[in-house]
Amino acid sequence: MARRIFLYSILLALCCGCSRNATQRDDVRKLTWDQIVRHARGQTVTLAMWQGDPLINKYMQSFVVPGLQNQYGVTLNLVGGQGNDLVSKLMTEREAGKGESAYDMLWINGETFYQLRQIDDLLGPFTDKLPNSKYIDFGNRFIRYDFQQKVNGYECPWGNVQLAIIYDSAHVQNPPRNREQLATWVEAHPGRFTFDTQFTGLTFLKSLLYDFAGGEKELQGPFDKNKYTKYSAELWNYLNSIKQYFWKQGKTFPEGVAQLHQLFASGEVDFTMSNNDGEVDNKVLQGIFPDTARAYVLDSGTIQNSHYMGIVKTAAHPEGAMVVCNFLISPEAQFEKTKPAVWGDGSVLAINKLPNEWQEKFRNIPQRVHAPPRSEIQPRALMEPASQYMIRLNEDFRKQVVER
Amino acid sequence: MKIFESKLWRDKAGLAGLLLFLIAAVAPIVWCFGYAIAYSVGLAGFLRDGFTLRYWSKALSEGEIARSFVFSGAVAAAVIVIGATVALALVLGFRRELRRGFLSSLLYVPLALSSLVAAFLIARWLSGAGFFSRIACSLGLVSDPQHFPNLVNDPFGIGIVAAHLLLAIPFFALTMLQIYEIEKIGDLRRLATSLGASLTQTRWRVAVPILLAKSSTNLLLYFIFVLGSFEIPLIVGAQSPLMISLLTRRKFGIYELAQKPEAFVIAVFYTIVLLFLLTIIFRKREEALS
Amino acid sequence: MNRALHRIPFVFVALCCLFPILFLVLQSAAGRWDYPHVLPQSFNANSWRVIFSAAHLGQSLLLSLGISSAVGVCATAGGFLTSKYIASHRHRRTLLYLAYVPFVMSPVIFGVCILFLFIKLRIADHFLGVVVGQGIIAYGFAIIFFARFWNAQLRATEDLVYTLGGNSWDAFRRVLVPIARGTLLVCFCQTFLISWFDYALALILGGGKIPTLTIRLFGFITEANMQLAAVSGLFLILPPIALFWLNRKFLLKPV
Repeated sequence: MARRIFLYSILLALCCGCSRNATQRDDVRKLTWDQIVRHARGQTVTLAMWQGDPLINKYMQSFVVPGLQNQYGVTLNLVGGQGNDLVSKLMTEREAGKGESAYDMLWINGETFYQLRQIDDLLGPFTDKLPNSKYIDFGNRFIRYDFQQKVNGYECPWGNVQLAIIYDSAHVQNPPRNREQLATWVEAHPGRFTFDTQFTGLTFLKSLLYDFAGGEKELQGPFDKNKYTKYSAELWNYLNSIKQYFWKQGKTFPEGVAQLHQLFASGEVDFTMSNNDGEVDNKVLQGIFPDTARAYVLDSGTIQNSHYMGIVKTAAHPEGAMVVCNFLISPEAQFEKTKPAVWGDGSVLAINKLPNEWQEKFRNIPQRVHAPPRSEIQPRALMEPASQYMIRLNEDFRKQVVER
Repeated sequence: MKIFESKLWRDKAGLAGLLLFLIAAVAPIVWCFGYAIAYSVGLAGFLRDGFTLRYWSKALSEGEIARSFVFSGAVAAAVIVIGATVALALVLGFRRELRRGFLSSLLYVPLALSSLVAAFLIARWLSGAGFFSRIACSLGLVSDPQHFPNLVNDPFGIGIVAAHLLLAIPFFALTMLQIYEIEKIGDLRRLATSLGASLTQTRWRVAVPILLAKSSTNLLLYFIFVLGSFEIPLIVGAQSPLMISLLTRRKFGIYELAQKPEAFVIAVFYTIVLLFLLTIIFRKREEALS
Repeated sequence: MNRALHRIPFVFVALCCLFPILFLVLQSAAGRWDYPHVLPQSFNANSWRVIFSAAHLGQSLLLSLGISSAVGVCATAGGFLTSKYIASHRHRRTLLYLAYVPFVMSPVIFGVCILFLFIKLRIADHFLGVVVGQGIIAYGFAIIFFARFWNAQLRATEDLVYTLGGNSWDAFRRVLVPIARGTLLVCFCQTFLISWFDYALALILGGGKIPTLTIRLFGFITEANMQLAAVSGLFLILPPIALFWLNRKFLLKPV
């Protein structure tokens, strides 16, 4: 009898110890960094991320995963997942009252960050705990704000990019530099232009929305329904007037940017685009794009934004997740992914805050060959508008353009 | 039904079978239907705010769901009609060769393709810069990918139908071959010939009606499968109109969180349609057996 | 000449059957393949080298084999048991109708609706969750598959065992299972394939943490990595071809 009680007690204790509650997870923020690193050792951290680019996947698998294992004893498990799907899944977990999420951290920005804050499913603030956060350029408004929302330590900046249009200079001598020229060009070259319906395409639409609004200032701040209605109507009119000259007469659009890149690479269209202004170089180096591919930014400007790492509030391994974040913003990891041959993603670190040896390295990163340097396109960088603009554009693009 | 009849209690295997049936077949479906109804009327979900019919009225008034059902039904019907026709032609034209020899084994090869692989192949073959476009270009029929007909990611679902046919035709052909043997259609045709019927008459008046009648249940079941297909329209479908499964997933994972209940409106609708179609299938089976 | 002309349709049908596999092999070895070249401009074995050197595709293959085998065994055994009960029940028609529902339901809609329950039961994002989810669908199929197996002759044989002093376990072990061996094997193959081909349930119930071969294939397609997609496609095809070859005699009886 006593043995049975003892065994049941052990079982009960094990069950109680198996899952953390929110209070215990909040206590993570009270630990010192050394304690966090100690707790993280041996943990398996699940990171849900978009896996649509083979080079990014290779960087994560070949550099980040082994780096974390060697330096911190943390095993990083990468799983595929995209913004809205992940939020939906986390919502279902909350509905089911699940104490521990299936994911520890997510690659997010913008509307995903907004939605996760809405349902209060992000751990934070936590970035102040990361030793490498002292190098982050929080003075840069493109990093400090995510879709007009201050990050406030609830997500850790990871990279910074600007939307660029990519074309083949062997076939296109004078690429259109504004929307009027774009309309003229597509009419003269029917079937040779399109954009995707996911993040990159929506970023392109937002850039055009700014143009209709007369510039960045008009759409800054919280979502304004009247402004959205007014300027989006102009945007839909513009697109519908030239839609017939798009690829497949505008009756369908590539589902994602990878498909758009494939169409460009196979010669079906003359343009593609990327949220990453440095992507053209690494695609050319891979042999996917022709050597004559070039990138540029519209005269009216394109959106520059940062992407981030968030830690799920109900993460099973918050310590491990924080160690992963700290590794990702280390000078080594940031330097590696900035190389065009690896990823070409912009760094979120302030070079002048880095140790001297790293300042030297960052200043001598191989320069872009097929895209203009960031300094040249920075004056035409536009801040992301509030998340609801993207949410509304995503819905209305389907109704006002695709289904018309 | 009296579950605990003494005979059943003695038959422990039967009892296990019943319990398993209730837990693994009935309960999940009852749960799915109940949960979907509850979510669609605001009684379940993270952002629930009490009973409401606003998701139903929005879904029904917008027309997107109706369009999706009509489109899915049209695609499924096209697959069944074209697939059955081609399968009939194969069975009636090459029955002997398909029954034995190398060809009989080869027909199983396309059955090994999954929906994802079939969709991938159709995308690589029929897209603007696909394999057949390149052949057409080499023959001088087109000069440019955009001049190739729009067969994939098109608003009429041609690519979806083509991918399904890649799987359906061998399946229907093999099923009809089996029916031909089981129903002894060869003997019936010979009997008809001895009574003065021509070859054409034995084909159209004997073979085809029996083959279609006996395979109608399978054809209807396949219709339901195509109706709810996901992988093929995901790869070779267009953004609009969407097939039912794709629309459900889009609504489930939508940016606007408050629209998530609309995914469950579709689920409820779909389940009602499914039960209706199953009822028809069962009636047909009973008629065939009696 | 006539005989040669007569052979053309057969050759055409044979090519149609083989073309998918031939194209996958070609795509898997294709290097640069610009429009409008009909054949690749260069060939390489890069994707095959990646497949055999990278652990994750091999892991996915083993994972898929494990899940499908578990689904096949459980669904076949469960369907065999349940169909026996249903076969002799006076509400046989209703019970069989209910068995059809999980089998024909869209996996996406089923997955979306059942996800909440699976999270509650703590089997979502887990091997077990994918097995149970696919198993429910395969179990429905197995019941339908065995529906015609239970006939009057089998019932009489079973009764004979009881008459001779045997119990239900004896009837199963010594009579029914040996008689049903071939049918059980075919059912296992069919339910194995239901699981093997599934993508939607593995995606929704696995939460990205159960990377089956179909999940990997879709990942390569999304990445526009055609070579690796073709190789994964070939990996997906091989077990079904083997199973079909073994079971061709029993396959595709009308429902």
